[in-house]
Amino acid sequence: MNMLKGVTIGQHYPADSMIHKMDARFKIIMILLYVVALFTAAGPISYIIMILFAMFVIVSAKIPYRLILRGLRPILWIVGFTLILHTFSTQEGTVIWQWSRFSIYNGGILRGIMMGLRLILLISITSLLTLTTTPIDLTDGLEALLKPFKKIGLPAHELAMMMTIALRFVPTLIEEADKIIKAQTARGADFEEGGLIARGKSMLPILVPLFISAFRRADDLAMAMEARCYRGGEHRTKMKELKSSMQDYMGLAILTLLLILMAFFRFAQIDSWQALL
Amino acid sequence: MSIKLKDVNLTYSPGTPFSADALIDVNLEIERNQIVAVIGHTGSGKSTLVQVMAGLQKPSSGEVLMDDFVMYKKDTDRKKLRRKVGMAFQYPEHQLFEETVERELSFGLVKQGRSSEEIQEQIHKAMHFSKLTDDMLIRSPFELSGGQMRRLAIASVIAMEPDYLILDEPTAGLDPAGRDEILSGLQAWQKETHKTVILVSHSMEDVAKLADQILVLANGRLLMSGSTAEVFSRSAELQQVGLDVPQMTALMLALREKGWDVPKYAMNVDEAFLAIRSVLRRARS
Repeated sequence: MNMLKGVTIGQHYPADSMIHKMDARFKIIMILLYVVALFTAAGPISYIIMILFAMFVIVSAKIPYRLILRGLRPILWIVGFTLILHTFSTQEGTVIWQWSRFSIYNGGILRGIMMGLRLILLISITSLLTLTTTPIDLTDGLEALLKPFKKIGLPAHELAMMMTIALRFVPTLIEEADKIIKAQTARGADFEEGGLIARGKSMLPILVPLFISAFRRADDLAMAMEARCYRGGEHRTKMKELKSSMQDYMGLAILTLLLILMAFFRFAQIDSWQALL
Repeated sequence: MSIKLKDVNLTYSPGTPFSADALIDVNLEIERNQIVAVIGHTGSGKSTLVQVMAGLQKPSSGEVLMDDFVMYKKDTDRKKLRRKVGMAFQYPEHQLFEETVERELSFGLVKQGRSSEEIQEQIHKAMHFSKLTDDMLIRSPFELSGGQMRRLAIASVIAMEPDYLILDEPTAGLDPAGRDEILSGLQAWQKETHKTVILVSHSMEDVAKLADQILVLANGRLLMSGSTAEVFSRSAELQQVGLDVPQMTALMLALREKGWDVPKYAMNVDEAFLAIRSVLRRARS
């Protein structure tokens, strides 16, 4: 019944750690660097380094690993799908299993595992960003990073505001959806029976009220903001200015090194997954 | 025939920093054919408790029995359970979604697999409860007024004829007239069908007017349970957990403090009037 229990996107986990204290701007850049490094990683050694690094960050952020695992649950089927797709479509290495026109190569399995790992690391590390940063810091950071693009007409403040609001309402809407599911269940709806089409149809009693309530909330929020004379980015000052410290620069340096290392391993062909075949 | 809760505990998000005990060692029994009110301060676990009773929120431990029916077991027949207990949440009009009033009312009935004659009959009864006219059947529920939408949403649960009807603050956010319409409708429905109505309420006046039995919750524990007169005569304890007593009961208690010999509890103005008059008459003679 609690289908939405596991959603951790946008959730903040308060704790007293080095990672929590870092400047949001730096954190966003570091996450980007990590993601680029992750896609540059070419072989088993690189992956082990990336995994160890992610684990190190999670541990030093004092985030319970169970929370990360729970956040991964919704993407498990995508990981599984990726694994299967790569297993059947890649034709590298040696054939280890064959049945009429289908054949599985050991390269396919390896590639599938790597893609799966890539997804898992990607989600873990990006969920770490919202887990360790309050939504307000996060959007402040984003706004600061987008500011240079204002010259070419990018509405940095407005975008950041939209992000804040979206993030802010994720848990609210989840709660709302949970309540609507319960309410419709009490009215006799059954979401766990029937085939695919029946199940799809049974989503209607959830989606219609959810949309109505989302619009109502948006309306209320717009009204409340206007009542407090909200006017967007012009001449707006901040109560809390973002401050960077030595730790932030060190973190940035470490991530840059990580990326260089991954690129070096890849282009010097020191590490490649084909070597495992 | 009753709802029975045995050692029910419920913790939300256990094992996280957001972990919260909503219900602690709750034991209670609700007999059939009466109106039961659940009262308590905000965050006392009222809503959680009624959701547990409605089979919508599995408790962390403990047993929930509905008549001869054990809830939250793997092999619990959900279809049968849904015929036994119906629930309308706070602001139930937010759950409306169908294209017409008629389809809204028949939603649960169709899911129950009733015949079309039966469905028509139940819709008719539900329309009577919701005090909507037949020409509204083909209208969109979103064209109705707030009070009408509320009544329609509650009627759609009533149409399913649950043995136990659970309502979480059915009058929240309504004006006094809308409030009276719903409460008197519920009372009439209960008298007619002899079913059990369990309602969460913040208004002590409403509770005094309607309820046969009251459950008082405080910080997730069952603080009191008993007849309306019994519970409201323990006003000091109620006030300790941030609850009021009905105004007339408060008056009786104030008079008693001054040495008047009036009962501890008065449900409404008429009762208070009679009590005060009899004291005055005795004093004169």
